[in-house]
Amino acid sequence: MARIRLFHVIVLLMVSATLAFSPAAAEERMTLMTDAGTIEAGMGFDGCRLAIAGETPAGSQVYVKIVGPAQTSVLSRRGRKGPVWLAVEAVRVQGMPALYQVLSSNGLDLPDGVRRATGIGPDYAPLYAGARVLSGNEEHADVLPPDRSRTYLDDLVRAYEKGDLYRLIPKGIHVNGTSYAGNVYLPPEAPRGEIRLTAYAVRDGRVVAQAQRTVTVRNTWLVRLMDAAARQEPAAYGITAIIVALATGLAVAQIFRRLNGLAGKEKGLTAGQ
Amino acid sequence: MSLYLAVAGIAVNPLAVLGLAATAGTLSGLFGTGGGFLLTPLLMFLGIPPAVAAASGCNQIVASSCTGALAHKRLGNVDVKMGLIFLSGAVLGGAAGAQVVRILRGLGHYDDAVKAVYVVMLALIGAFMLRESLQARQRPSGGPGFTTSRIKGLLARLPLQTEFRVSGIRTSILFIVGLGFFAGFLAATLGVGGGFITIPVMIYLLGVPTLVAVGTGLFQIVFTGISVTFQQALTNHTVDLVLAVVLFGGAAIGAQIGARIARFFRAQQIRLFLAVAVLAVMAGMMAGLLSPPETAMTIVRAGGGH
Repeated sequence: MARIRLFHVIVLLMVSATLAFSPAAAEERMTLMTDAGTIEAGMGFDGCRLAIAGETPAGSQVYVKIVGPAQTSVLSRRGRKGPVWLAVEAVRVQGMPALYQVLSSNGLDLPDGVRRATGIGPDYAPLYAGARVLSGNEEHADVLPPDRSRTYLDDLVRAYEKGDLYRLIPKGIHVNGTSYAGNVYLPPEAPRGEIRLTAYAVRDGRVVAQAQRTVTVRNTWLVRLMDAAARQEPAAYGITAIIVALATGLAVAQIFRRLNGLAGKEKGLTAGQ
Repeated sequence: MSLYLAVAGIAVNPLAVLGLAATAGTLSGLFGTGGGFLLTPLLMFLGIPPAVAAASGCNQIVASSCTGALAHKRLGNVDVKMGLIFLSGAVLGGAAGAQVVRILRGLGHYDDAVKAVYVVMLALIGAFMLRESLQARQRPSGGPGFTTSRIKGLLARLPLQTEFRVSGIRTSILFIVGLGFFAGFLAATLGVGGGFITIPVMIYLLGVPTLVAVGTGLFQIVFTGISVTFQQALTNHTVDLVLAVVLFGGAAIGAQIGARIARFFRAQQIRLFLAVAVLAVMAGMMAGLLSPPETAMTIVRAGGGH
């Protein structure tokens, strides 16, 4: 938190200095800064808070949209078959970002023109236009019509909201004169790749300025290695897993033999099947 | 605190995983079973995808069973001939099981299928053990009692009869291969060693001495686990090595604790506890299948953004 506050103070000072030297030019100018350009996600990655701040034209409201890379998700719908709840249908959803958050200094009920210009609304409906829901297998897929797609997209959004990947946070941005600041939470399962942040300054029912920034979330080399090895070199990965298991098993046997003190106490080493 | 599992693609609490593995390991040490049949469902309760839980659980089985197998080998309790014949069936069963996992995952039915099979399997095992342990309390010996003469007669009529000197029995190679196939299939589909079925079969149907059955069972489970881990890695990419390593640690510690606790109880008491533990896990899984889900839709898998 101390680091975030310091970051905000530095940004405020920079904004003030800029305004002091060029007050006229700053009026319609917007900047967007983050306290990190790259986030390294290791095995212990517990999610993180990304501090955002910048300058905005005087008297404007600020809206920040955070969009992760698009991905294909497979959704399984559960239905009742007799007494049991089972997967009764599976669909693929394409074109929905794996991360979507909107923070604003005001409510999210924007005028139509601003909604069209920013793609921001009081719900996630603006995302639906770019999404496709496909049923059937990969060779013979049917695109579902919008009325049927909507149910699936709503459920996908709910699942993402549960994992803190999708969030709408009115009043999540604090504007102070011509500067603004806020915090974005990226959960542990945040998509790896480029996350695009766009800040909009809205005044008198129109967008008067905007700024963009990209933040990259990437796995550390060990996580990347594990993921890539499992998918791209499955044979080598499988052999490694077996060697590690055998080595661990033998090491544990040795440790407990020593702990038991006597080599004859082998009965205690049976760990099971 | 969280631990990101690269293959599973989710973050879990490592202490929770370690605790579950230690619990399964304690049960394993306490009851003399592998504990795999309890570990996989417990991992599913933590939110780990069933396919990853089963495959990584199988990898863990390699580590936990090799310590026991080595100890039994030194004591002369391993019938290598029977183990190798068993293994030939297990490799085939493991290959078939990995393909079944692949097909069911493609259809989106693997998760439900594995849960349903677990419910049935745990219900049968739990009910059998409960009945057997309650009956044992009334028998003077306290040991298990079965009538298997008809099945033994059928086994004696199967072709390819051969002598197993270490076990001191004569039986059909076909039956041992079939038993191995079944164990391999269970390992691939459910992430279990299958010892809770194969060892009683060896003891009660084939007449293999208990220690040789346990030693040979562990010996074949090491190789079944190796074969299935490799096939799962190759076919389904579902072996999560980080998860497996945490499981090794927890299970190894738990097994030692369980072995020490076991000294304070009589055999039939232990079997009764195991029956109750198995039935409790079964009830939890059954409740999951019978009660309406929190959301009608679940994300089976996501990709393309990584």
